[in-house]
Amino acid sequence: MNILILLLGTSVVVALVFLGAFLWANRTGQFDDTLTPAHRILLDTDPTLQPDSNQAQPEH
Amino acid sequence: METTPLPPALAVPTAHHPPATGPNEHFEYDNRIVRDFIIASVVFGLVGMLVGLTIAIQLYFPALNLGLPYTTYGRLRPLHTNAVIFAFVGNAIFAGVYYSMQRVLKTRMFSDTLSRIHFWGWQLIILAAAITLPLGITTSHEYAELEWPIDIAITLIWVVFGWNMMGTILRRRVRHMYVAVWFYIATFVTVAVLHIVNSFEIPVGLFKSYYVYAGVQDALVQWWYGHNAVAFFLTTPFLGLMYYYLPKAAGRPVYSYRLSIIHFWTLIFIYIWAGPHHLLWSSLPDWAQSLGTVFSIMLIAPSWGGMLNGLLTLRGAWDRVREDPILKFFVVGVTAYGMATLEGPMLSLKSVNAIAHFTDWIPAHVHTGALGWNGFLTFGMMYWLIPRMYGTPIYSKKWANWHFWIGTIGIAVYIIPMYFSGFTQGLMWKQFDANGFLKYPNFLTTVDAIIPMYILRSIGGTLYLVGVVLMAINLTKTALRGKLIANEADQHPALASQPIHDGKYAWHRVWERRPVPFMVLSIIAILIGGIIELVPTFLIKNNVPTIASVKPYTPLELVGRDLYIREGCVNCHTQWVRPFRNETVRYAGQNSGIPNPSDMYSKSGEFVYDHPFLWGSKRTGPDLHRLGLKYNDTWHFNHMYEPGSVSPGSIMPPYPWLLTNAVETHDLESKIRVMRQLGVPYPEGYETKAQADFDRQAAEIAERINADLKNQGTQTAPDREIIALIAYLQRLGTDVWHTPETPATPPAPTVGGATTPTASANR
Amino acid sequence: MSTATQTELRCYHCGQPTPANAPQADGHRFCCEGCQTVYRLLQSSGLCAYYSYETTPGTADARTADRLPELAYLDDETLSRQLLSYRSAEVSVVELKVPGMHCLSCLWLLEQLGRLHPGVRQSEVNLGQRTVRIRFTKAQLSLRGLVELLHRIGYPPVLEAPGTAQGPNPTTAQRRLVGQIGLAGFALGNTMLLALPDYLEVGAVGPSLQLAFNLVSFLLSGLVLYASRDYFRQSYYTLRLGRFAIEQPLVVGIVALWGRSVYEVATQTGAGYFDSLAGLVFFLLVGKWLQQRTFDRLQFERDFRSYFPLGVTALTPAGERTMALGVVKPGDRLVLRGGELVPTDSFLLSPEATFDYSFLTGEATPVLRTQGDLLYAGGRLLAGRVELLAEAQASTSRLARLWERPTTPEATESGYTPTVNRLARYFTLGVLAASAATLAYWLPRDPSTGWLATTGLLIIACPCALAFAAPFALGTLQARFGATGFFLRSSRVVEGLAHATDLVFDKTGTLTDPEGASAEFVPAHGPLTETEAATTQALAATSAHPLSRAVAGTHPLRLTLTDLEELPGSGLSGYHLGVEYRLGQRDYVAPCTCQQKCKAVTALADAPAETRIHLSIGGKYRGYYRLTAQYLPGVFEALTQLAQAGYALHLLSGDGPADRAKLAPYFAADRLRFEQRPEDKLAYIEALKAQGKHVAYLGDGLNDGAALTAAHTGVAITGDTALFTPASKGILLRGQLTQLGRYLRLSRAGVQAVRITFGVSLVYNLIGASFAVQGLLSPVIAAVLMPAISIGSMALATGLAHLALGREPITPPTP
Repeated sequence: MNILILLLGTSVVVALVFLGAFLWANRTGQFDDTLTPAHRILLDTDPTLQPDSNQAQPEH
Repeated sequence: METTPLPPALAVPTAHHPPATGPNEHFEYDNRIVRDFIIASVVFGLVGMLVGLTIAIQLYFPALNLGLPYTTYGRLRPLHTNAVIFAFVGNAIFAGVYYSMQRVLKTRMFSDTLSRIHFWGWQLIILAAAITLPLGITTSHEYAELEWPIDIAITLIWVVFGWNMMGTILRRRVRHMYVAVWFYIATFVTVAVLHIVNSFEIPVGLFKSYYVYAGVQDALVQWWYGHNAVAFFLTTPFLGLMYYYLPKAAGRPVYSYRLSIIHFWTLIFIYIWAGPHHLLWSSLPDWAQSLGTVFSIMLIAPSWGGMLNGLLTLRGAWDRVREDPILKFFVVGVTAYGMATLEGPMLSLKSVNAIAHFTDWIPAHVHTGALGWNGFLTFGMMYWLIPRMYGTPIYSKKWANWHFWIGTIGIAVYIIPMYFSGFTQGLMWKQFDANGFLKYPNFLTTVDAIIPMYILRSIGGTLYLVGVVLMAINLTKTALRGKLIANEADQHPALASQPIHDGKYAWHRVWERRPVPFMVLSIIAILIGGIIELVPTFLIKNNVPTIASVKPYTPLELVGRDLYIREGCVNCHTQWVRPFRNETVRYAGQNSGIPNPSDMYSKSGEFVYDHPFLWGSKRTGPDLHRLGLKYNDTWHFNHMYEPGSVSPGSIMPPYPWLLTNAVETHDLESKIRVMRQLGVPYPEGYETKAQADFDRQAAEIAERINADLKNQGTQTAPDREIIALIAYLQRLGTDVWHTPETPATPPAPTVGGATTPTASANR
Repeated sequence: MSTATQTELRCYHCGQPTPANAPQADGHRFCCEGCQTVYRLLQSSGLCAYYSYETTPGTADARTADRLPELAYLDDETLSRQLLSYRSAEVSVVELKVPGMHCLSCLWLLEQLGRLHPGVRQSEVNLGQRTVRIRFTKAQLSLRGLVELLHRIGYPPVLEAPGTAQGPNPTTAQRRLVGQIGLAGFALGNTMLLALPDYLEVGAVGPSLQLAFNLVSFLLSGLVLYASRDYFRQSYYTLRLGRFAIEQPLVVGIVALWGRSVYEVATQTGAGYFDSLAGLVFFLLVGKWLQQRTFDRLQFERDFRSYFPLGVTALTPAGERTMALGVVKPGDRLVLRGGELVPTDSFLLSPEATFDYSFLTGEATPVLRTQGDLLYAGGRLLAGRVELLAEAQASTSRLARLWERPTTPEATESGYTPTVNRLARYFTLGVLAASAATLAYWLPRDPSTGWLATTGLLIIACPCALAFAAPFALGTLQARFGATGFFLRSSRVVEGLAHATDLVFDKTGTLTDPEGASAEFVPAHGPLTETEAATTQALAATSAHPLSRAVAGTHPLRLTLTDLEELPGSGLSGYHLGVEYRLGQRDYVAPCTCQQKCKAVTALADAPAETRIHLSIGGKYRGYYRLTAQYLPGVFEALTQLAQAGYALHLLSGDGPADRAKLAPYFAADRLRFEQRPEDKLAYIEALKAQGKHVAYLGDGLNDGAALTAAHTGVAITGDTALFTPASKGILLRGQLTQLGRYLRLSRAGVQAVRITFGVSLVYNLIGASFAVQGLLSPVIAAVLMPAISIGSMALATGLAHLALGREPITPPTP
């Protein structure tokens, strides 16, 4: 079943890539603030720049 | 920190003063690409579901294929799965990603050109699939049926997508990458790797190729891919979408952002391992099977973490869920995710799997996820997106609510009967009577029993489809009423490089602003790793336990096997007798003169020449691995011409064209050559003699059949496709017991005579 | 329609009720000029979306947005340099604390600063820490200008002297730990994957694959060791200090696991215990992470400098200029304005002035100082403008010296509590003895088995259960405490509370409610008419003097008084409808007409037992207001219960003995002390500690700072966590003080839970040991037992803690 070497190997390499990404993110402070980003995405496109067609009432 | 339910973009006091913008950069979001992907998703969604409905009906009304080869179940089923997964869901993913990524990163997509290439390229691929699959051009790997030229196209377009995405991340104006973006990245990287590894094929012609791996190894690769395709194409991107659109629609931040981050990383590190659980009770080594089980169980934790995080986001907003169809769709979708991700691990328990596998339980499980999780999340997302992008409220909220209810009922009417029929099948197949004989020896009895369930299921599917039609109209009318805001203006300060606080992290900062090189390097790393791992697999001799009496297929059988693949028989018939008494007795025990039938379950050694493996995953019809020599050639001839004539009540469609079509042998030589490259021991230069062997064996079979057909007054020519197919069917699973004298002896130099199965059998 | 009118009558900006003559703009009503100003500013900058994310998102701070405080000192180069977290030739970055931010609108607006001033290049908000990180170009915008901008939009930042927050940067520590967890988790997942086949079916994968697996596991174990390096470091430090800490046996266990595994793999005698190793380290780190619950918004490490102005106005030959407090040296002439703190010990050059030392001593009554008096740092000038002559550097002021206390840096401390370390010591001694015995038994018979048995014993007897019990039991409590308004610097403090024998309280602001001081009028000749009372209150309201505030009460009418005059140290006067009102000291309000001589009556000597403010209307003496401190509701019951619970209660007050009678029932005479200066309190605490008592000190204000740091467990009392609190182990919301008993009982329960968990886990260890000593410990057994111990003890400890919480429900503070 040497195919397993291929699959395990590939999987491990992928996992290593993500591990690298994780360490990078952690070191560069991506996880420092776990509150603000969740709120920031709620802010919408700058309203003052939108055409009036966008001033309609919300559907809900 | 409650937030107002009103989506700010829609409810804002107009400012009469020209906005002061200070250092802000002005830019525009590309909405057109999002709109295009949504259209594609809806259109292909309708097609894909319609095809699904068609084959669902064919299960109790086979004549629905109108006697055409292109519309048989075997050929349409791959079309259905490909259409809904890669066309409907795929396009929906891209729409959702392109919209949310631009906004969370505060920048336009990296390149409009790439976006367009991505869009049109993807649609062309779908078109190619829609043409090739009905023509029977398929590799027979589930969810990877497309032939090698299309595989390459997919790879290229996928790279374009990734390039566009990474470029956008590089250009981001927000330092923090919202968790959704991480899910998108994971999707890109992993799917790329999976697709590449599962596409190692050697072309025979433009539309034909053989996988480099054979039998059990091919099966493992396929299901490692198959499982992770579900994981990283149907799950991670949608979790990303959930983490963006659910909070947006609810107007409140996700319940716990920290949890969402933990959710992502645990999921990423566990998911990749769970593949083997699709091969329980197969001839895959036990430990590899158990590995799959263990990691599948571990998956419950992150999955449910994600589900709860999604649902709890709505805490305190349930009153709004009552009146907002979008939130309703999300709630049901996320719940479906929870159900599916709990059921999955359960199914990967060997005991449960023993009953559930091959039955309709699996389609039920799959459709819980597909219709509930992917479908409903997509619908909710579209109802949210279109009004925003067209600057107008939804055309009819009432219709949206109707869609929700019809769809929900549709799901219920679909999966409940499927569960029922799953249990019924699973139990009927296993039952023995007091005298130790199978209670239902005739497979058809177990089919008749569930026909009503099939009818109900098609009704459920219809309801679901009606809902989608309703949505299509609703969204179209909405779009017509408003005007597409093709480019949505926004402003944000540029992302200044972070000052160094302590020199320590200086070198990390280099990476921080360079996701693209980072990803490029990682992909290179993956490929290098892959190659490094590949080398041994081709150098080291395959160490799958071999069985001396197992010989390569004769040219005729080989061609017949390719017909078996073309007609998609694998979609309804497995070739994988599991080590249970009921299966060995049912599928292997009825052959005359088999020593020790209880030992006749499938052995890994029997598949060493199967490029690709044809184990299948669903027993709509009986298992065929021990079919060989069960019936005579003429029976097969009649059966393929009119199944009902030999097995009354069969729901298998007739294949008359096999009797009329002349068999193609122009590529026989290259097939033999390729097979030899892949390690099948055809002697050097055999390809030149292959045609002769082909004709000889064909003539013998035709002769036998014609002898029987005399009294029926018909005859068949030896050069018909049916002959080749029969040759293959008669060969199935016979190697382990037939004696050298039998006509089906392969031409390959016979090393060692036939051995007794018991002695040679080994897993 | 009442709701509609409601909303109409509320301030469009901050939601406060609006007065009849409310200022308006664009059809919106505002409660005050301040809010209106902010609105105008935002509106003219096209930032009205601010009002769409939240309704009335403005803060009360906006009320003062039209009145800017004195910020000139921010122009001081040295100071601003200290405040900036980064500065280059053209751009600067500063991280400002903005307690006012609370919602989505705040987030949005504060990140749009660039649109209010082109000088702001980028601003990034951290809602959790309530800070905004601003990147601005010096050429266009000065630090002062930036701070003023924030004031103008109603988000005044709180400026702290740089370096006042000591200790390691929490985020750096957090990142470090998270990174370690990531590594260990990654290693664990893969090692498990590779170990599993062998458990399921020995030799299943065949020798070549197995070897490959072992090698990969070996490589992964490198990651694990790297991730566990902090345990090595801490055990090394503690060892060097000659102290015992649980990290030491943990490290022994880790090393034994690793060594044994390497040996097995190298000699091809087995697959090793790499999975157990990874699991152990991973769980240890996760435990640490859960324990490291930081309360972002709170600062436990604040030192006295936080309380002082960042800059002072100095009088130089060149005229007035602001300089950073740090550079003030003896001999400098300083200028002090009303409301400012005396920055360092100095002499008063002006004739006379009244200073409020309540901040420093807890004594509510201000004192009059005359020319030449030595003023200690920390006094607040009530009104006027005076000149000082600095006598010492800020860093060497008497106050500063009080705060100088030796602190051991975190890194050299054990990450675990004394109890754990104590238990671990016995445990380890036992293990070592057992190992020695095992070795002694086997060596003569079968050396190889002997080594297996010994290493096996060391592996299985690693006291990880202990390492898990404390973080989870105490961490659970810490979390619950935090949720109910009692914030602990670390879960270790829980244990400190559990051991407390003596509770020492401060009075003012701790047992009493500083806002609650009530003034009751004692008439000399007949009561006051309503108008007279109202007018008096209005008069009092015009003064910053705390006593006057008490008289003014909460809602004084807005009556117009003329010819207002305030005489520092004496009182204030004003005319209403031609009638003169005088409020203050006896001889000031009405020249004494009575026979007894009452000369030299000062505010303090006035009446030692109680504080009086006299009133005369139209020159006629009418009586005095008696000021009485308001004790927290239910505080006396709480004291009684604590006494019954067997705690020795002490009270150290900076005040006069006015309330001795009131407090006598709850405190033994010799434990009830008044007029305590900070150094007295410190000495008292030290004395208690000398007697071997375990002291918990509860106090607010700067005068308690020294005591708080000296006590085993210092708990700062505050009414609002956004306010400064002196350095302490914990911060308790004043309202929750009455539940102190519960908190203490829970802390004890927590420590109990740790002990129980330890006991239970011993059973596991014994089972494992029984295998080990015979040299029968197999990787499977280890792989089953060790997670069982880890997870088992986590669950048990957490469960016990929750059980305790169930028995002792704490009512959360009422907002």
